[in-house]
Amino acid sequence: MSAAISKSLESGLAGRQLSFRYDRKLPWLFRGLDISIAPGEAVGLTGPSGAGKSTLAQILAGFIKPLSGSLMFNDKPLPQKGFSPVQYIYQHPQLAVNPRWTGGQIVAEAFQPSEELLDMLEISADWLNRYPHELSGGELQRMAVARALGPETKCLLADELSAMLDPLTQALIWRTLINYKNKGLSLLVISHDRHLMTKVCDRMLPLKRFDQP
Amino acid sequence: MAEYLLEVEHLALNFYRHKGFAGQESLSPVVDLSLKLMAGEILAVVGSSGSGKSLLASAVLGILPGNCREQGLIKYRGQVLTKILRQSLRGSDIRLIPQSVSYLNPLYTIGWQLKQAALAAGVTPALVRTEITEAITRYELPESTLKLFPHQLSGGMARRVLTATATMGSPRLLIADEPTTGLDEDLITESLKFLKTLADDGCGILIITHDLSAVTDFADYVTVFIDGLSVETCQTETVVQQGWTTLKHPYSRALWRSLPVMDFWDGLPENSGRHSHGCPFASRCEGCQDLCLAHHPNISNTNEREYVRCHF
Amino acid sequence: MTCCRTGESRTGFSFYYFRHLILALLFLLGLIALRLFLDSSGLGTNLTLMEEAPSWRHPFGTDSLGRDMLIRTVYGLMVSLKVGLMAATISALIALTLGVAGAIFGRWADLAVTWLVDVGMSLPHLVLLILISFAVGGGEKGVMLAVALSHWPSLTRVLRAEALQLKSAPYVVISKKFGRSSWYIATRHFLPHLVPQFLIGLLLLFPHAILHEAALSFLGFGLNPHTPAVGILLAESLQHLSTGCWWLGVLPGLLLVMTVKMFDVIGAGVKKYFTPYKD
Repeated sequence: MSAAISKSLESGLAGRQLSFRYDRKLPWLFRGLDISIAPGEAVGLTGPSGAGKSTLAQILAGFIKPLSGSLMFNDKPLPQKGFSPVQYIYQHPQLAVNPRWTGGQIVAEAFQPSEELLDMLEISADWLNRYPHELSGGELQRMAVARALGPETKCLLADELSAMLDPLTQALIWRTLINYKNKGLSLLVISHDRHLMTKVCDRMLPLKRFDQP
Repeated sequence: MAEYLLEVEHLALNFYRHKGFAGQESLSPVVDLSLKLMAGEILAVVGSSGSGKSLLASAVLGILPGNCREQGLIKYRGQVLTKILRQSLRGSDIRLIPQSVSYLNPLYTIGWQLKQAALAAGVTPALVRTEITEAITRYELPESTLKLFPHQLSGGMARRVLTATATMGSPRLLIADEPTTGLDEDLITESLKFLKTLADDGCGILIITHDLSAVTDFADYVTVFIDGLSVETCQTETVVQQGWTTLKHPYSRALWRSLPVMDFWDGLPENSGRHSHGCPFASRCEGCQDLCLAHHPNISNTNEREYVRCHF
Repeated sequence: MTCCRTGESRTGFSFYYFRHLILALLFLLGLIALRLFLDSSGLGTNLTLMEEAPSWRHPFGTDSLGRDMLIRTVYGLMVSLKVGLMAATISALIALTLGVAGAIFGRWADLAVTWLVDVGMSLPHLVLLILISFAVGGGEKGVMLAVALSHWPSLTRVLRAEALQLKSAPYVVISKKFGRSSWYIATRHFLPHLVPQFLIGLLLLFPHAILHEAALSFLGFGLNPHTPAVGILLAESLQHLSTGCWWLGVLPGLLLVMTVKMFDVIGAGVKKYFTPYKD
């Protein structure tokens, strides 16, 4: 059955036969793992701590190379150069922005976000002249989301994206993301908040600890 | 009247620092904070990250930096907490469960640090050994943990070790600073269950957190903190059972309402329109009037334990 | 209670906080002013004024040919400053290029840079200076090149470490996924962070450069013995010390040490300006 699926044309992001461990002496985090996220789908990654949820997200983002396996996008290898259709949002926005850039420079690093997007995230114009240390975590995270939602972004990896935020900002960011999801954006969601996961995700993918050497 | 374990009345904290030759600037992260806690209860102080609520822990423990001026009153078991009293109580009666292992000394083993915590808590040297053994069995830590160094602990073990150091001897008041940050769901539940058990044993527990949804199942009372003001204290059970409409302050209503477990409502994001006078929520409040912009409202008590700070 | 006003803050440049920096700058400006306004006739020989001790007319005394030592020292220091500035700038630019290149162009580039730094640091400084200066043919150009080509390794190491740290910063990783080029990342993300380090490094290289220039000239591998360079003044003074002409060596030496120290103070002041929180 799996052969039939892998032969058929599949759109969206897919990881094929991914294996990873941090060191030869350490157990495998996962071996031969298959994962796919269709356009307009939100997949929640669940599992105990140490199961490799964040590692998998970083592999899908292209930050870490898997030891074996491949990343496919719309049935072609995920491009390494140019604007990546797969974007990753960090948990701590303070680290994800250049502290010496203004808000305006940060938001427009990849493309100029539309007024509509800025309004949707309620990013006010005067933040664009401020530096990161003059903005709160919630404000920075909204800018980080705006900057990642480019026209070529097809998949967003949200690794505890709202864990450090107050519930109001969390709700606002997720409204925006769900709005984009309805227009075809794929989402991978990692969160400690069960209620959030059930509200946001279409299906769950449980990761187990892979303890055999 | 019942005796409160901890009472904080109109606490205000101002920081002064030098700027230039004769200049000075002041910051007021805490403007007016009030709360009451009884033994055997869990009270959560909820506010967004970086809003200065962690300073509450420093104030109660008496470890505020020197350039900080404190106003208001902190009472412990009916007694005003003076500087000297805070010093003698911290580590014995009043304990802090810190946020992360970075609060432990990286150069010493866990065993050594547990021993120091026990001695500071007033455990007699002869009993230290048994006290440590009890603590690690209580939190299901293997004996080998004692030989490890802080950086060798996993997230879950770190939580247990931190809780263990804070529960040596017989504490009466525990302050947990962000006990859920950076943990996954199972560990959050575990970490809060430990606190619940301690409360059932008669400790008073003050949780300081930004994560309202994590503490709703465990805290008896929640105090909502925004831009230096505590705007409402409510009984958690009532809100969970009857919904956010039972709340009185528009900010806490919005906060509860936006939780994924409730409406996941997104009407009011945080905004940095900070002003020195008036209600911190005024700029986003639907019912805002001139009075709200002029000065911040005083507390009006709904009952002995619950209060709201709103002009209307 | 009168001292504190709530919510007020004073920003901007504080003269008191940077008093050391300002004093050092004034000192150097004074030196340059002296060079511009002192009568250069004192440079000529005047056999009626041989080996006079310091006086109001000749604050630094005169040498065995009757030349005014203050004027000679100030002229000499100006030559040192020029050589030092050029050498330190070239050195710091080499360090910046290598440090950033090591971080940006991958593993092999980094290995090459590390190797170069190791080689540069393992060679004895003075021997390398003498060799380069000698090979280029001495003179001002020789000294400048020698100092420039031997002083970059330590700053390179600092800048490379900084750049490597930046390389794994989340915002740089994200920038790559936005399709930004290595050049863009180097100039937009790395440079703003490295400029303070670079400037501080440059200023702290300055005293080294001046001292080594003096050392080379002192040993006779540097400037022409007829130019009034501090190294040459000091070398000459050796012959006259035993005759009791202490001012020939002590006073120019003292002024050299003070000048070098002033650059150190300026370096520290600039560092304080860029990183005020690291007090």
